[in-house]
Amino acid sequence: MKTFAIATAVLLMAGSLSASEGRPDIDELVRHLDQLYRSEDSYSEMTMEITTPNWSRTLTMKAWSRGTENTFIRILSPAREAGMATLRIGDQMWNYLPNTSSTVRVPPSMMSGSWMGSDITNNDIVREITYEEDYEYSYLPDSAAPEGSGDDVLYVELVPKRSTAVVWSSIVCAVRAEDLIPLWEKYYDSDGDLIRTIGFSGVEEMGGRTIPTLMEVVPADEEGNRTTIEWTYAEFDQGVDEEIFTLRNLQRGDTD
Amino acid sequence: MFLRMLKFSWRNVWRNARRTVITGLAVGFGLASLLFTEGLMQGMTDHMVDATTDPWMGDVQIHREGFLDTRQLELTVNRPGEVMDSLSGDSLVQAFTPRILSPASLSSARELKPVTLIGVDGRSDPGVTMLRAAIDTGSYLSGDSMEIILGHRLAEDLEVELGDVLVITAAGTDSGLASSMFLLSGICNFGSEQLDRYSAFVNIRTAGDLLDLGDGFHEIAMVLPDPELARDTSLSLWDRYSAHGNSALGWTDLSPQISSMLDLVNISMLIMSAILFGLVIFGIVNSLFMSVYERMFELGIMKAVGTRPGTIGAMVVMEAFWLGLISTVIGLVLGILLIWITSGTGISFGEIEFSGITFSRPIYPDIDPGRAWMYPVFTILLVGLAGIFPGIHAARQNPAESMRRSL
Amino acid sequence: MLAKLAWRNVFRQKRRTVLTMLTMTGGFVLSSAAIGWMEGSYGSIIMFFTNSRTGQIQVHGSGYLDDPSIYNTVDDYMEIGSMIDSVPGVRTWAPRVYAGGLLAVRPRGSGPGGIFSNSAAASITAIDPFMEDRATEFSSQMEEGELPSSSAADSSYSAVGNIVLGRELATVLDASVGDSLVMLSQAADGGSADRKYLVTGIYSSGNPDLDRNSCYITLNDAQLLFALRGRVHEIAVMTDDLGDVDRLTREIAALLEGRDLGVDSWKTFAREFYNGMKADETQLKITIFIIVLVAAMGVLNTILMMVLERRREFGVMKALGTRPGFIVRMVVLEANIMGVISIIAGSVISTGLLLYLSSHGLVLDQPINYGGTVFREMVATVNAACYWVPALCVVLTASTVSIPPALKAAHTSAAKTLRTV
Repeated sequence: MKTFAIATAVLLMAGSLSASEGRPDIDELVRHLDQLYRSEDSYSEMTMEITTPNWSRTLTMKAWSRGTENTFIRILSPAREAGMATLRIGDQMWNYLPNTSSTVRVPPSMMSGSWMGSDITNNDIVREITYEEDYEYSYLPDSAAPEGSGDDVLYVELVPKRSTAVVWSSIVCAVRAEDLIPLWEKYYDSDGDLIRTIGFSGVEEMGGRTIPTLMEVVPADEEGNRTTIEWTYAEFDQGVDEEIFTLRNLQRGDTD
Repeated sequence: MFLRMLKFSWRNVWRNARRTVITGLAVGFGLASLLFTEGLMQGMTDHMVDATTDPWMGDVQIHREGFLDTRQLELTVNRPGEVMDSLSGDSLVQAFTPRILSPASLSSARELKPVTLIGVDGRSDPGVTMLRAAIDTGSYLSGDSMEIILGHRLAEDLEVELGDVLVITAAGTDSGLASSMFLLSGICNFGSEQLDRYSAFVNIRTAGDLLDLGDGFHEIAMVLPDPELARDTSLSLWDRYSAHGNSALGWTDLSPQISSMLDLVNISMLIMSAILFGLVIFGIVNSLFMSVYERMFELGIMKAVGTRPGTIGAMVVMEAFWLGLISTVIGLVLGILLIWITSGTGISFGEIEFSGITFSRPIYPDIDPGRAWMYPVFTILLVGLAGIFPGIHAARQNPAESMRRSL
Repeated sequence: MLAKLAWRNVFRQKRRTVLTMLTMTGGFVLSSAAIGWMEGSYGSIIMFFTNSRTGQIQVHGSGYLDDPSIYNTVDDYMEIGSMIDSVPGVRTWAPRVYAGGLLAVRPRGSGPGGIFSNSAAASITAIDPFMEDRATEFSSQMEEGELPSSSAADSSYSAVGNIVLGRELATVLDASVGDSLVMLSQAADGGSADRKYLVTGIYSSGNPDLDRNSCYITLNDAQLLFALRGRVHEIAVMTDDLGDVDRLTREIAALLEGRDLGVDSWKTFAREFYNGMKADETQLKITIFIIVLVAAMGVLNTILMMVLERRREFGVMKALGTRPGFIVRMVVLEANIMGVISIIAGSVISTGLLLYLSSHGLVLDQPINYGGTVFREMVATVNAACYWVPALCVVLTASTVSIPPALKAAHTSAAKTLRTV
């Protein structure tokens, strides 16, 4: 009896030991982050709320994507913008303007700017950069972990590789230990000052995945600026008609 | 006879030495001032031209035809190798440097600004522009692909300091967007809005790679021994470098506003010179008249003794010439001396901010003999001619009347 | 007694007096003309430059010059405008709205369904065509076509508006008068601002860097499109008197106190130009100084000679018992009398000359193109400096120069001076 008890105790201890240093494989975690919203193709419906010191607006839209090259977004509301659409194929971008029934090509010089006045840039939307390939990453040492964290949160630090052209020098990402869903990402500059925070919440099952359906982008220095995206519906790898990523589709102007 | 009259009139002039010296000095001073003003004006014009061409523009630039109007990326200088070789061997070209120019977006951690990305060749640029001298903080380009220099206003707008990360995003010739990361290595201050607020300088090789231009570039800026040469339309330079679809333009065409401003200033100065000249002539003629009228008594005697009126008249005119000559010589000596002295050390007007770099370089007066010879020659001529009036008056005088001397 | 003697002396030797005064008057008139000319030519340049686009004074939302933002506006601009009108010295004013956006044109040959693929970013300026033309004569900068005029776009969000493009922008877009164009931008309320336009004209300011990026539409159109009702970004104020600008700036600023607005003169908002002008001005000021100096030398020469020629006369006076001090004072007084008469005569002549020059100016045989405006003539100005500077020069020189030789003459023995031919 005693032997059995000791053996169990040893096994239990061994088990708990492995559990505490058993953080998930970091490569897997980072890959999971990259794949969060990504897929071969996707269709989603979302609401974007943009807040600035001068105005606030809420847009609803439908978006289709295929790989990293093709994106099609159709705006449903508010009324003035209803029917507007953006088509992006690779480095080319066009906007359809229902008011004038015209399709306008966006020159490359305007593509680095913000999308529709939000805190999100066009480059953010394309997201050709992946954490796995373009960053060096590691778990934050426990001493560096922010306060108020429990054992159920993992902290990863990502540093862009020399060849990665981004303005931040590091990203700290807080991820739920149980399902590797991100809680927030904080972007820092070379002096260690916070540039922006992206918060994730509203975790739900959608399109066969468990994803945070609420994403909030908050620039650190600008008072009163915030962009919030809420996914109301999402479908992944269900096959998206190639027809969608054409200028013809852009010019159809209807809000299906 | 003529010779004798010359000698006689010369002696007459010196008989009243004091009057001659005073007039000579006064008029000479006027003439010297005129010459000095010309020199000063030339020096200041040179100074302003330098302020236009030295900081960045250069004296002449070569582009592909159409580039300056549309700024299209694909319009690089044709046959770049040939052109550069030609420039190297050109004795008229003191130095030259190629540049890449492209609109781009520059982002820092906090801001995004549209800029003109300028690819600079760090080896040849210092001989042409003042970029290196204009760097306030940090250092000049050494060839490292991550180096970037920003104007100080731009650095302020982007809220960056040395060592901070910047990303340039630009559209390459393959119409693809490309981004590249840089670390702020230098901050410059040109005193020009265009350069300080809207320009980002990187190594030309890096810009070429980013924009997929290969060895191509958009602009060659060159320095000539004298910026004024750029105004000379007869130079073979223009044809040589405006061939094969390229176009060579001087700073007068590149910066028509500055050129116009200089023209306006030139006209003003012309008027001033005319006024000065008028004063000089006035002074000498006045002196001449006074001297003749004061000597009515002795002229009366001469006539009474039998000298012919014509001779008296001629003598007066000759005296006028002599006076003019003496004054002119004094003026020339003084003027040239003054210019010679000041052109060595230059005249400093303190800091002059003009269209760019705060120019604290002194002004060097400079005289153009081609123009300046007119003044002395015209002075002598006009004065001599002016002598005709009192000469006629003297010739016609009634000896008896003029001998009735008055106090 | 002294005065009477001096006065009579002046008019006794007519020829000598006339010659002396001629030099003094001549010096006065020429210096005066030089000063008037300098002021005038600079005034001309500055007025031409500021009249062509910027105006002499500008009103913005506070802080706009450092950080131009579409949200920083002058509200109730009509009210502000009429307040500005009430300030004496203001000729007129013009409102402007500024925005940035994308302009796109269909490539040549593509039909009505084509994509607007020739696109370029541009700075958009919205003007009230009538007020703008009255202020800056904008219509004279038009190369082709006409100023943007009122259209249905002023009141309807979906109507086609009128637009005028800078010459280089038209080249980049490959657009000409009569073409259709689409503009896309963001309004001040965050919404999308897009409209179709008809290109009604092409203009040239003479500055290609400016013209490559700019275009003009009408004010009402822009206020509707960009959700800026009753608001503008800039009010340009025009005046005819350049010397009045500083006072006007202060008065307008005081009038608009408490409204969170900034009032600036061209010296502030056109700083680079101002510095360039100052550099030129220094140069000319030095030349004026030299001219005045030379004029002084001329006066010096004549007065000196005049005194030295009369040594015999002074000798006689001394022999008669006149004290040296009396002689000196008499000479100085004579010099001053002549000086004053010369100044008066000179003032009359130079006033006539300057008035003529300021209205007719000097016609240039080769017109100079500066900042888009073409200079055909240069004018002079009449102002106080044209008078007091030369006057001071003449009087000072005359009185001081006459003293030393008079002293010398007065103290030489009478016998010596009388022994001359």
